[in-house]
Amino acid sequence: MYCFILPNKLANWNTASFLVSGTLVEASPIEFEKNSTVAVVKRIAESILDEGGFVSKIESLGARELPYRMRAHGQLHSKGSYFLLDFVAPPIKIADITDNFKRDVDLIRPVVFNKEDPLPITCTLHQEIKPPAYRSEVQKMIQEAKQRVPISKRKRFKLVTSVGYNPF
Amino acid sequence: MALTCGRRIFVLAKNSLLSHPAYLRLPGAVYSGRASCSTSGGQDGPHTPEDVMSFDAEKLEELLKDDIPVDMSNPYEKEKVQCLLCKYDVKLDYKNVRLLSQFVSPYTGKMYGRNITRLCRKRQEELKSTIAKSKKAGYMAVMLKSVEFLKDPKLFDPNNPIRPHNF
Repeated sequence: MYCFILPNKLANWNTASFLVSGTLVEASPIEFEKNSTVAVVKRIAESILDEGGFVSKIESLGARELPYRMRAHGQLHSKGSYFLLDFVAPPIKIADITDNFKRDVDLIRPVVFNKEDPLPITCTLHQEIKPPAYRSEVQKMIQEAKQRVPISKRKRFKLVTSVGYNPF
Repeated sequence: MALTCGRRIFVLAKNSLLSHPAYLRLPGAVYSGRASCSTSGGQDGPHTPEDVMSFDAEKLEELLKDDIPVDMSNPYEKEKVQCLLCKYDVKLDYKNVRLLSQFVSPYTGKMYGRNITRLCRKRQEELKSTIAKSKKAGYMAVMLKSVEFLKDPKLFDPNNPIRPHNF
């Protein structure tokens, strides 16, 4: 067991969300190990480790009927088990990791997301509710329009059709 | 030989307190002395504005002790209208399909616009991206709203939009 300290931006925490084909069935401990779904999850975790990453959390969201039928590797799936894997990996290797997941026949929908805290948002609804003349965006648009050449001038037919210089 | 005028007409020096309108002037008790309009027929010579009125600072402080404005934010400021998600600080997660489905039409499965959901622009964008993420990852149905979520409580009335809509 060893500790490592990762600098902030070098390696980002990622979540991999998988749908594994087939359902996980309750079984005795020995059979549990041999069970295909468990084997698949192990395989995925190992593939991350091979690429130089570290898996921090494996979470199962249960088996259920999929919200819509999904096609993967020539097969149509309507039921699956959902798994979440939190891992850290060097940013260069994430493309390789994702590629490996896509090649795995047992994974229906492998997706890798970057775990980021959403930026704090201050509600601006009170400004958006204002009548258009009082909204800052609309006022900006009016200012921009004033700086532009007015349409009457722009659309006016230009009688001078010369190039502006003597081409010969 | 101090003579006071019947009326209180003060000499208006440019930057003096006395040049302020009546409602801004300090209470009379602060000033002591005589009005500059007092006429003695020029016997004592012309009066300079300085020796006409003397300003009692201590009396002023005593009077204003309870009246000095306190440093505070506007107590009459109206509460700013906040959208649902900002008000209760709700975090949108692509795995939380039930919450996301509350913003989706049960007839078409499409997400409602800002005119119906009444969210602020940033939250609406966040919701849009989260729903797209959820659908791509295979958590949320695309063409419909899941049957289990049809009887969920309504966060807004889709039949009462700010602008008319098709769904």
